[in-house]
Amino acid sequence: MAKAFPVTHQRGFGTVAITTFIFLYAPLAVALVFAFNAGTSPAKWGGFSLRWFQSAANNQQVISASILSLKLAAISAILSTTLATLAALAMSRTPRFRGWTLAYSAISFPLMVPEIVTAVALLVVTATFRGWTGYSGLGYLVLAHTAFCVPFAYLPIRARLQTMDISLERAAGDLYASPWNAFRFVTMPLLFPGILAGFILAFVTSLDDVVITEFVKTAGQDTLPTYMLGQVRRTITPEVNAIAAVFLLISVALVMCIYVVNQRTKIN
Amino acid sequence: MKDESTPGVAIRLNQVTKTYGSGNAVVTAVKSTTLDIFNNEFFTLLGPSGCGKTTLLRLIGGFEYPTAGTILLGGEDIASVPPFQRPINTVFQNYALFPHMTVAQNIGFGLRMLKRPRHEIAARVDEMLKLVRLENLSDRRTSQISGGQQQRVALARALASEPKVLLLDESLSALDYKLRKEMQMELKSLQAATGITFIFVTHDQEEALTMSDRVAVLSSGEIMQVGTPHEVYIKPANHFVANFVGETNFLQGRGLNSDDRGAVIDVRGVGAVAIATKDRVAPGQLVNIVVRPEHLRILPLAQEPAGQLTGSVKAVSFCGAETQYTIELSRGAAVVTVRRYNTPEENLPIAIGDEVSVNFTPNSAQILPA
Ligand SMILES: Nc1ncnc2c1ncn2[C@@H]1O[C@H](COP(=O)(O)OP(=O)(O)OP(=O)(O)O)[C@@H](O)[C@H]1O
Ligand SMILES: [Mg+2]
Repeated sequence: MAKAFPVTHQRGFGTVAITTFIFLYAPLAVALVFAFNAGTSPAKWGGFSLRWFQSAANNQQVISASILSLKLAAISAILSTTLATLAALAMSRTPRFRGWTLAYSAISFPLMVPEIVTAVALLVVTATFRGWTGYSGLGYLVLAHTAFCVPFAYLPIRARLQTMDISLERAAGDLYASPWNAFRFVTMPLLFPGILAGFILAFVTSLDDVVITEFVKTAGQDTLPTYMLGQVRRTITPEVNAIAAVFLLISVALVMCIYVVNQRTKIN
Repeated sequence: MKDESTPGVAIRLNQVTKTYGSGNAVVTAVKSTTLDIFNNEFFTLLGPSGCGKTTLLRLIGGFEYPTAGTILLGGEDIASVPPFQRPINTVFQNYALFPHMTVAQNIGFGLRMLKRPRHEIAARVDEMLKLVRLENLSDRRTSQISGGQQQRVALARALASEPKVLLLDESLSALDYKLRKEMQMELKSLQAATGITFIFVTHDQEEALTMSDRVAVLSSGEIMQVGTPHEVYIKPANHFVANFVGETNFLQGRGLNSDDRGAVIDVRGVGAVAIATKDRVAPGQLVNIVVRPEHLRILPLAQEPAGQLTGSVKAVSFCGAETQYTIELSRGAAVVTVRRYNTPEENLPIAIGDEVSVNFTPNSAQILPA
């Protein structure tokens, strides 16, 4: 067998790698540092303080935007994960049917559609519905988020299902488990890490979304990201940095969960 | 539907056919098979790859439905009974142990699904652990035990709920030689101890012969012969069985005459050969003389007058307990294999190139239509 191409031994590899990391992380680091700025500028250091965290925590708009964000993310993650689980089971536990490939692509296609296109499309649809029904609650945002989160939840669940031996379900059936019990006692526990990963990915994706939310929301329906966008457009203070820092912490913690669960529950 | 069934029949297959696919891509995996498997029997389905062994097991287990025909369990038609309601358990070829459960939880799974009381399950699991000698591994994950141990867990899991019939699909083929021999003995004694009907699938004829009460030899979805290992080996019903079960020599020829004591066959390129057999041959009929390697005697031609056949030794291979000789019969018409036990007192040395006389031991040869 040929040796692998020794990419790390190429001239300049180290330089490129380090530059890439700097470009990726330096802005993030600066933003985080300025969250602790005592001054009012997000660019001029005025000493260390936690005042912007305090100010964010006391800002009624931030609080309600945070609550809305979490609520929206939780509901749409639960819905999209349920749908994605059903879709993944259907795709891997039924014999290949006509249009299998079409269904497969249809489920993950939204990942490839530019978000702005989806956003405009959803804007038109929701506006029309609003006109017809007069309803202007959270429902539109929930539906929109659920829809674009499905493929994110779907991918890890499907990956997990593919590593699962289908003869385990057959063995459960052989041992007096009804189809429902086989699902409950064998498929579900084995699939759980995939479902959890799907849920967290969907949750983070929803939490993070700006474009679609911005188009679909009505007045007073600011999520944390759209609130931050609004703030940045006006006056920029380190309060935004403080919010961003907390936001980042939550996202990282959630993604770490996936990693830990995957490590703990490796099949084999 | 009740059958006017013979008592003692555990499984009855009645004209069972199974085809896969449709249109012009139809594969007939099982061809109108009729078969009785008795209670307390160690029954083996033996045949080459693709002959339909797994399909037959899956039909009995309920994972496939017959295209035609009926399957009776204890006289009851089970066509419409789904697998989880059949008192039939399977030891899967890849074991299919649940990776998220311990050894004990795996073994207790069937009973748990049957909603047996907790203490009863615990007692039964302990009993099974003892039976397969895994008491000290009960809390291990199935990924933390060896292949042989996994095999035993799979066996214990399938036996725990005391099924009427246990199906085993090539259960030993993944194990190494030594362990396989051990498990063969263990399976056999487990079957005797539990009194459960075992239906065992293998493509290994030696395994089939050593373990079974009865063997069904299959070829392309059809049963070629059903009988005890002895019957199948000593009196193969046809060319396929003779060839597949054990090693065999075939000498093709035409019948000259036959009576109660024997037959004379004009073996192609060799000439008239007289053998002691009860099989009758019509003059001119094309037949095969079938004789096992261990039923041919060879002696150096220098010491003995020529026997039924003569030939020269082409190859000698030492196989431990016995030595195998490949002999080209005179005039290069046919090659036969001869096996001799390596008992030092009896055997005169024979080497490559030696001229030998070859004799059938009495009543050892059989005549089958070619
Ligand atoms: N699901 C299926 N669809 C189509 N054809 C099948 C299917 N399962 C088995 N067959 C075909 O049916 C025939 C019998 O297969 P089966 O698996 O029963 O053989 P087997 O005797 O168990 O072979 P092996 O020793 O290789 O396991 C084969 O020709 C196989 O290709
Ligand atoms: Mg098979």
